[in-house]
Amino acid sequence: MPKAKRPDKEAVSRAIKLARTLRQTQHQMATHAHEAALDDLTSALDRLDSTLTMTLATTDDQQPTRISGDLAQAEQVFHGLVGPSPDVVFRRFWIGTRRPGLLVFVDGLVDNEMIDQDIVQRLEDASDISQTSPKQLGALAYDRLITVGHVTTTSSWPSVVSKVMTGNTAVFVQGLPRAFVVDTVKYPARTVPSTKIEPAIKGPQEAFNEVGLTHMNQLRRWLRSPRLHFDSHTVGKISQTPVYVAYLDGVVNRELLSRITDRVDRIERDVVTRANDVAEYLSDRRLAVFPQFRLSDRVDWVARELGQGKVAILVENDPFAILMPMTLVDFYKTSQDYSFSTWDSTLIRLIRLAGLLAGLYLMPLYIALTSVNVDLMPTPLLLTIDGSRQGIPFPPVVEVMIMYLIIEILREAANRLPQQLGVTLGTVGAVVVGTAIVKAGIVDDVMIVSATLTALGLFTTPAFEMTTPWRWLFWVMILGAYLLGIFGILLVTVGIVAYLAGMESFGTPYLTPFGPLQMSGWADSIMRWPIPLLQRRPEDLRPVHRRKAEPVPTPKPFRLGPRNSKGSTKS
Amino acid sequence: MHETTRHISPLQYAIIETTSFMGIGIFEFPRVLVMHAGSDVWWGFLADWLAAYVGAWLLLKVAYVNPRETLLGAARDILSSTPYWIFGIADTVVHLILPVLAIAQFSFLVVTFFLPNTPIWLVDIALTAMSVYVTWWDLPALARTTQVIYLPVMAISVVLLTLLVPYMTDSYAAIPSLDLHVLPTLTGAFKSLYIFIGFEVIPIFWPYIRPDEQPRARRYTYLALTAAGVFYSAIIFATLTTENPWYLEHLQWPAVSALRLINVSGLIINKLGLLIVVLWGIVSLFFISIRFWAISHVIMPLIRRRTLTWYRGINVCLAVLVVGVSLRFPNIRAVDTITKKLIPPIIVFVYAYPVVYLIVARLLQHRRHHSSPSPANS
Amino acid sequence: MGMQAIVMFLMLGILTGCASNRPLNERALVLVMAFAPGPHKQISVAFQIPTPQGLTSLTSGSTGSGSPGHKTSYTVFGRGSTLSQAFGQAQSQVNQGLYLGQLQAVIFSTRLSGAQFQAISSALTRIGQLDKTAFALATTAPLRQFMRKTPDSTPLPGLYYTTEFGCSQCQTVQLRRRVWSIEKYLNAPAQNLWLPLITLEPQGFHVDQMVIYRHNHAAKILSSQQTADIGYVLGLTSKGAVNLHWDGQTVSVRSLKANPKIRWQWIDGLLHIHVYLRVTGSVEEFPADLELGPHVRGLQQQTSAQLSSDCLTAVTKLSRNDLDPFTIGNAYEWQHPGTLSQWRDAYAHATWAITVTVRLQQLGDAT
Repeated sequence: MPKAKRPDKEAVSRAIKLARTLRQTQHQMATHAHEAALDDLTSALDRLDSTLTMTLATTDDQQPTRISGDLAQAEQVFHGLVGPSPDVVFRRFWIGTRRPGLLVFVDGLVDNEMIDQDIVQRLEDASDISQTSPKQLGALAYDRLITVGHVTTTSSWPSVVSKVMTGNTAVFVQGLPRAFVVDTVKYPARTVPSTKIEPAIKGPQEAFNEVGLTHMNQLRRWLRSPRLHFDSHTVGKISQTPVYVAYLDGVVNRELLSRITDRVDRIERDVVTRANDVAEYLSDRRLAVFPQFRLSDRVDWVARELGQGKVAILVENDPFAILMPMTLVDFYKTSQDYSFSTWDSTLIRLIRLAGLLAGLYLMPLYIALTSVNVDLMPTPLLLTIDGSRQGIPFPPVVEVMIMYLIIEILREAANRLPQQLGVTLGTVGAVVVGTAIVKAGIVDDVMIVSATLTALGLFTTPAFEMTTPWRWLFWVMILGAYLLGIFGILLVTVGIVAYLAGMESFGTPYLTPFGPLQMSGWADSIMRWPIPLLQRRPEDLRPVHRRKAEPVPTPKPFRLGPRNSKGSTKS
Repeated sequence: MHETTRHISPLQYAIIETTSFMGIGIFEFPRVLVMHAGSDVWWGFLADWLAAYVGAWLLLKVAYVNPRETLLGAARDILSSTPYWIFGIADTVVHLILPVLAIAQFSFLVVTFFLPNTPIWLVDIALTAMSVYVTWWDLPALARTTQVIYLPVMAISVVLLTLLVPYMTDSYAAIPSLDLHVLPTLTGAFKSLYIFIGFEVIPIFWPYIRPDEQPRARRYTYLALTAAGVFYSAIIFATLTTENPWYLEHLQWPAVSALRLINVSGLIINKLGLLIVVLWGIVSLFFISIRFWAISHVIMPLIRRRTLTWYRGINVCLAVLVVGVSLRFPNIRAVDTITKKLIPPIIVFVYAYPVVYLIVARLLQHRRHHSSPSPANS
Repeated sequence: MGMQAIVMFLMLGILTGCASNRPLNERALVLVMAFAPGPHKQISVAFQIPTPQGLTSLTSGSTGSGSPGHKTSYTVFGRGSTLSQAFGQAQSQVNQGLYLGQLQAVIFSTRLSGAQFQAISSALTRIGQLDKTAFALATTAPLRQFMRKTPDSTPLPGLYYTTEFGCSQCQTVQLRRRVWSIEKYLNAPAQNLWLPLITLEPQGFHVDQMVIYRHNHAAKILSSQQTADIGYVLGLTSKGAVNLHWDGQTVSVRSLKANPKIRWQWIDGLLHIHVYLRVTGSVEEFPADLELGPHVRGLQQQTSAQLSSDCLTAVTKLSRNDLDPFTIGNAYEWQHPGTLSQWRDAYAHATWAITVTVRLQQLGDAT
């Protein structure tokens, strides 16, 4: 990419000095005469001045000059900053009939009706302002004329410019060295969608959309407490992306919160376009295979996690909230687990565990049992496998590679294709891989079974980001199995556990509640106890209050018998 | 590392303590004991068990004298420079011998039963490399890993031992003898005391327990020894009644030979018992990891380097050294010979040093008490 | 980066084959191994290995044994003055490594000399990967004849043993014995090894007798009745049968299963061995014109008496021959080390007593 040509700083400074000198000359001349002729020169010089100042400001990151009260200059400054952007609208109008005003807003980000009715129409209709000074007019406009709820005044250029860029409207009045910033924000937003990424059969279905304000509104509906706080930060030097750190005050550990906000503040990046841009700055270990944060677009899930004492980071323009800190088991929990009965949720969690074990161990076990520890298999099974392997030219490890590659390619292709074609692809893949490859004698039947189970097993993980580490570690496992058989598999397992045990996310051990062993955490890990019994927040998050529910004894049995009905009929 | 808590829980401590001795003795036990003690095998084992309690009691006393300081750090306080160095080096050597023997023993075992076509160096390197990796993130991670793996491994071992019940035909051999021969029994007990050797890590790990949890940890120390003793008893019972005592004496690894008889039909792996080899291999792995951790924590204060990089560097060097030495053993017989020679002095060292330490500490305290009123050493 | 290194390492490992692990289809899976004496004090060894056709016939579901000319297994023979020579000769005939990790059975000829048997058993314990849970059997049949036999019931001869011994209560006498127990009993001071005897039948094999070894050579082959009787005392018989005469008619008591307890004591320097058998069984054949109920007690008593006398004859015969398949001698030696010769002498002259308590549990639905 060719680098943009940076203006010579010294040259620009010299030009500014020159412009100022010229202006002084112009003032001197104006006192004598030739006013009309000099008007053109003045405006030209002004334009030059403001353009140069802004250029220098953007190059040097210096604060632009303060608002002068000159509409032409205001327009120039904006033009200089945003360039020929058709979406930035400049509209000159008259306040009352005497005083010129200027509206600046970004078309598409604002509510046009508001601008028309609550700003332009009100200001134009204003009477009795002929004798007022700009200052008085300012006060009048603020108090009476502009009928929008949220109006601020500012004299700082950066503040005005950044606010206009987010959908506010700036109102300049000739002669007033300040600008009104009127909240006219109305983004083109998706309606609140239902989640497609983390589907659930029962329970809340609402997902976030792309608008930060809506994120907050949605969370507020779930947690109607003043304790729900949103710390606002701006990330991205150029993109100026708003980032909100959401937490429940009085629940979340303050130290944890300050660590997270500190890391958010430290992000130095020009453009931030998505939650992951922020999240990857927050992880303890950048190259860790396992995710240390979870991205969720479910409002109910984020609310639940906040209630546990976690912190959610909402990034404007991304419907996924970053949840931190996370442990391994947190990635195996879904919203649905809490919408079904204990038995159902526990069963599903056990199946997820089985899926993980099958996905991770089946193929390595196949390699270990067919080429290293052949003696461990029961003879009938061994003979069956041996029979199906007759004439197969590749060792099991190569078979695994072939099959895994095919599965991954099919998966990625299915992801990239439109949904309707994806189904076709699945069918083709199943037919081609399932039958043809066996017929061709490249891979044996048993391998097809284990490859299918592996592919399905790994994707039982509810959080998609969690499948990736296992898909990587799968290969380490294959290596272990190939070199040292079952012993290798066990060694790699120990290695994975050691890796997980060494990981911490903001001081929370990644392997809790298994290592360190926390029996209270087991109630909501592999199994899910009845909700009335889940009375404590996770110990590893060190929340301010661990108890989240008071113990309520099981209700005494209530019998609705004839006596009850008799009583009611008689009365 | 900066956000890592440096503490371990009493349970983690108890598991580390158990792992610190289980890894070396578990395979060979109870051959030596049966060879010497004959039918007095139970009494010999009881003597060992008792000796372990006594040793633990002594070591806890050492820990009690200076609960905030590792053993070597405490030694620096009470010993002058030269004895301090001698003590440090002796401690290092003891801790180095044990992993060498453990690796050599285990690799021969694996190559005999499990991986006959695999070169022994590959087994050695894989095991040691993984041991180093387990120590990579220092103590809390090591403690967590041990906790997560060790408990299931032991649970599976117990299940496997119960699966052996149908094979226990020689029940007479498990009845304790009433005709006690003291000398051979004690000889057998002394020679097989290595099953508990390794618990000398108690004072090394002690400072990593939160002070308020130390009383609980003290209880756990004895509980861990009790659990280990029960487990060893189960092994004695299972091996004696499955293999008869005379066959047992011929077997290099009696418990493994007994457990590999298990054959459960209907599973993908039906010879479940053979898995014991690798499962106990994991116990060996932690045994080696804990040694590495201990040695590097003896060496680091000696050379006054305490950073994580140094810690890792020392561990890697130790691993290279240990693999290099253990590969020098041509066969299991050589390992046996060396073990027989080295274990008695190690046993003497392990029991002698807390005694010497306590005496010296008492003398110093006495002297200090006379010279100036000093703060209590508790 | 780390992952790339791992993938590279994986590829290297695969390409260089640094672990010489062969996939199972590149190993000669020995399912049955047999030993017999050869000429000039040599040892003959035979390895039975399934053929690829035999293996593929298993997966396609058909039993390959039925079709003529379709060989499901082949046998490799080797002979030598030492076992390793014999092994070497056999190995030279196969271009794949002989793999003993999935061994189903090891067959010993009863004609093997003590030294040969000892050598073989000690070699077997040293082969690390040999499956110690393979079944051990003895045979009187010649080696070649035995190895060429494929039973009708299984596609592969090697699978016969799994089906024969796979069920724990299906045989009359549970004669399963595993390879590891050979070495165990050879090391025992007093207890003698027994092995099931496998004989050739037109349809295949037959196992219902046991061979008792004196130290390391086959000393006595018991008849099937003797085997069943000794089986009661050893706790092995699970489907014993007794035929009684009742009112001049035949009554059959079956499914007899014994739970033995052996006690001994010294009386006046003589060894008295008392065997208590608690036996359960069922009445399967009883005259139709008689009511069973009143006769149960009598039947139990008569069965007890019959069993008691049969077993007594069998055990006395063994003890007079100084054969001890029981654990009592071992137990004595373990508790009184160094008194073995005294025990042997006493055992040969021991007086036996057998108390049998029969409980007939299943009487059928006709009373």
